[in-house]
Amino acid sequence: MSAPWHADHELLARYRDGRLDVAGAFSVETHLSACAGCRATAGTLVEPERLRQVWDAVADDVDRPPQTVAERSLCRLGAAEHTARLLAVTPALTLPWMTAVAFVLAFVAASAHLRPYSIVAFLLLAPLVPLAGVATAFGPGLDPAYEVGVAAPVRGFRLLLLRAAAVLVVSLAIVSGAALLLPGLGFTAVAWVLPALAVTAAGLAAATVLQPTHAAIATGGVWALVPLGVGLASSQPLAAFGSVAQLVAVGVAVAAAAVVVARADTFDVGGWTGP
Amino acid sequence: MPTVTAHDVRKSFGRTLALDGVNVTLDAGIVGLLGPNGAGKTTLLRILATVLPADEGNVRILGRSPGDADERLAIRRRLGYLPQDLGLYPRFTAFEFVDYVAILKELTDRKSRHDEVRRVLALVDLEEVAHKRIKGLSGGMRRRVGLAQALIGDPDLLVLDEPTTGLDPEQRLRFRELVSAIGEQRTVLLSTHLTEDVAALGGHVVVLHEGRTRFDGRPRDLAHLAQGHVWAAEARDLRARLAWRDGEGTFRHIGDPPPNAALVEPTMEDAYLLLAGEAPSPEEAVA
Repeated sequence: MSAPWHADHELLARYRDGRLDVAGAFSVETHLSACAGCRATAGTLVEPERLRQVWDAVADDVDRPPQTVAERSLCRLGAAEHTARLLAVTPALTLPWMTAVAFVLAFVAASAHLRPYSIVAFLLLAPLVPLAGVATAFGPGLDPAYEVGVAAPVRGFRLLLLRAAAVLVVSLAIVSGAALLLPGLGFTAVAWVLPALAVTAAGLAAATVLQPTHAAIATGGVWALVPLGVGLASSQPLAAFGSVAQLVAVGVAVAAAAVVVARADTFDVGGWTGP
Repeated sequence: MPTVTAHDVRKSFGRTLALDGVNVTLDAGIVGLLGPNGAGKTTLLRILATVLPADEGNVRILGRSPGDADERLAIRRRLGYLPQDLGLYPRFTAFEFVDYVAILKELTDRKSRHDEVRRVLALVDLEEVAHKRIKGLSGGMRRRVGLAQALIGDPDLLVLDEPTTGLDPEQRLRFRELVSAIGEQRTVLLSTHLTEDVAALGGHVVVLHEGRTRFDGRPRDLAHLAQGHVWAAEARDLRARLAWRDGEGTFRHIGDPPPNAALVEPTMEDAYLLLAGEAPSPEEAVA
């Protein structure tokens, strides 16, 4: 049996400075985990400030919440960690939501190869994706900690804009991807973009009066009736997506955005909350 | 300057009148808001937490008006709020949830924010489960996560809606200890339907009933309201308008004396029942 050994001052100093090879460092670490005396000596060789920094770094590493895909993407674009964290509780930015939406839209777009009327269904559905995503990003009922957020100093309108913008970007990307499956890849592949912006903005404008989910249902309902009505009246299924309709969509989007900005304070108090 | 003044506050939801002219003035210390379900406690707390605007009346919180956007922001920077039905994100850990609320409270530097999160989780004895997912925590633990988020930033005004719901007796004692310490410097307004909580915390009690302030004063003065109106008997008098059984099994009749009953010193519970129950009106009681 070999005699017990202890790490002397010189060896510990080399370990501290990182001047030991892998086997040497491994031996010292194995010994330190079993020898309180050498641990105490090693402790005296390190500056308290450095120890504190190391300990803080370990605590930070352990406590730092894992980032979602949306958070990581926003950070890569230059946003601060705390700003990106505000997206972490947005349902429309979670993988299950995005997967489900992508699957449904891809199915509808692909089925247009067999049934041309599916193009109308796709164009009807596409604007509802950002509308629903934005509606579920804030408000009572869907956000379990909604009231805590309202009572916090972060501006409700800022929170709304951040989440709405993130949801809009992600939704437009998913719908664009699905649109690539449409037959022909003509104008119909982009005809939904302006209506999507208009419907989303209109949903937000309605949310300055109604509870967000009710506002989204009402806006979505109106949207579904318009293209169907126009299509039936003109006997042209895509009449509601022509150039005039696109101009109307721009007008609606601008007007709705103006209402949202003018009534921004609505998002700062829980006016929708019942008794 | 009082921390909170509310004068003639009214609030309706459609045809339901939740607050019908409430008046309260709160200074530093602990204030217990008592009242039965539907008395308007939660509505009043939401107004004082700047979550809801009052329809009418004058409200000043920490010297500012919650009706003005900038002043409301200044109030929120010094406010901690625990809603009655605080939902937590189940896939978050306790640490993640409190950290998220800390971001909403403008704690942007990660290191100091995480230090603060650890501090408040330690205050409510949740260090051990800080990294467990909320969906795996017990009801009492979840309530304490809610309390922890309200304590972030050491607020000057703490508004706690039914904070002791779901806590076991030991946790309730710990909660009272914590709130007592905070109430030495700050204002803590908490609602409860348990007179026991208010009696233990002392300070100041406000009784709401049907949207009106029915009492505003010290707990011992609340008990005095029922002086001369509480009768103890071994059996319940079926004709009594209001009778309740205390922990020792004695029936305490409030109002008219039943046969073979002895007039006893009233407790806060007696007075609360007198105000909130179907007993004689308080005016009649104190006359």
